[in-house]
Amino acid sequence: MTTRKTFLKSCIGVCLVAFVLGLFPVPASAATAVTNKYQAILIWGSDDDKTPENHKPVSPEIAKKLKNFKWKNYFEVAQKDFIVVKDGKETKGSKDAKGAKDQTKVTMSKDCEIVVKLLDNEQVEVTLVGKGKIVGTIKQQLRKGGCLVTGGDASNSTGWFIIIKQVE
Amino acid sequence: MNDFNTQMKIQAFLDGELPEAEAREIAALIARDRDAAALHTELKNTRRALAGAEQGITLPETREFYWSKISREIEKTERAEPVQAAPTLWQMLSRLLKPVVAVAVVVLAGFLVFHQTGTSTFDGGVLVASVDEDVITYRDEANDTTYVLFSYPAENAVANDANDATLN
Repeated sequence: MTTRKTFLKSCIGVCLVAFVLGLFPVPASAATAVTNKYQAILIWGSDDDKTPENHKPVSPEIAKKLKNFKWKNYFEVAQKDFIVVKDGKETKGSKDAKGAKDQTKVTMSKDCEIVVKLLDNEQVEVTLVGKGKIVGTIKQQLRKGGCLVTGGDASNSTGWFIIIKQVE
Repeated sequence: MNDFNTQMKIQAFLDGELPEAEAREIAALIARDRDAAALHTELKNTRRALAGAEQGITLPETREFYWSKISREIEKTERAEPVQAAPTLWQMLSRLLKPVVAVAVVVLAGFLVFHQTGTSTFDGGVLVASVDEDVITYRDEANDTTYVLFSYPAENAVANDANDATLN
């Protein structure tokens, strides 16, 4: 009987130590709000050397990510920084980024919007909206430093891309 | 009169233990037989002498209580614990190992729970949802970049207005 009591006390003690040391994950509901900072870039791929609006070429870092595609040049049409807060209050938003529960809607151009929603386990859900219609939804793990490149063909043998990367 | 049986009956007559008919017979015998009368007188005298010499010895406790004490002592002796021998090496090791095993079990359980609910559920691949089959996905682990390419017509895609020459 005494041995059993000692064993139970040992187990309880070990559980407490393990809990204190953080060996058990904290449930998401008990966790504090998560705020991630992202950068989204709208890119136009073309074989032309310049665009009618004289968009600037993408940075070498971005060009490297797009080197395997068929177009000769890539131009940066728009770049937006935004945050997404999970399990917190709605974000205040800005001119181009409107926060909602766990997600932020970003206007990349007059016809292009993206909605980035934070899911569990560092996953994001990116919804692409073109001219008010949903083009597609992507669920993908996106960690700090990670990058999601999405795009497709456009008219006149050009291409469009949206690159989303987590900054912080 | 030398009959042993008759002598015993005279003794019983003296003690008043004979049935009435038999008692009458013995009384008649004592009246007519000198030997029988002599034996009766001797027994009566002996009885009278012994009656004054008896000591009234009484036990300080009842018989049942006396024996119950003996019974309790016997049971107490049987229940006495044997003398414990010195712990063996295995017993000492067992005492030390129990807490260690408990720690190992708790840590293992903690890691299992963490891996069930933690980041390890992500397999590194791309999960594309709500899009049709005309989607090409590619994962570049080295650069932590995921490519999701839509093969939609440009007019159905993002931010490409047919009236515009650019994505703006």
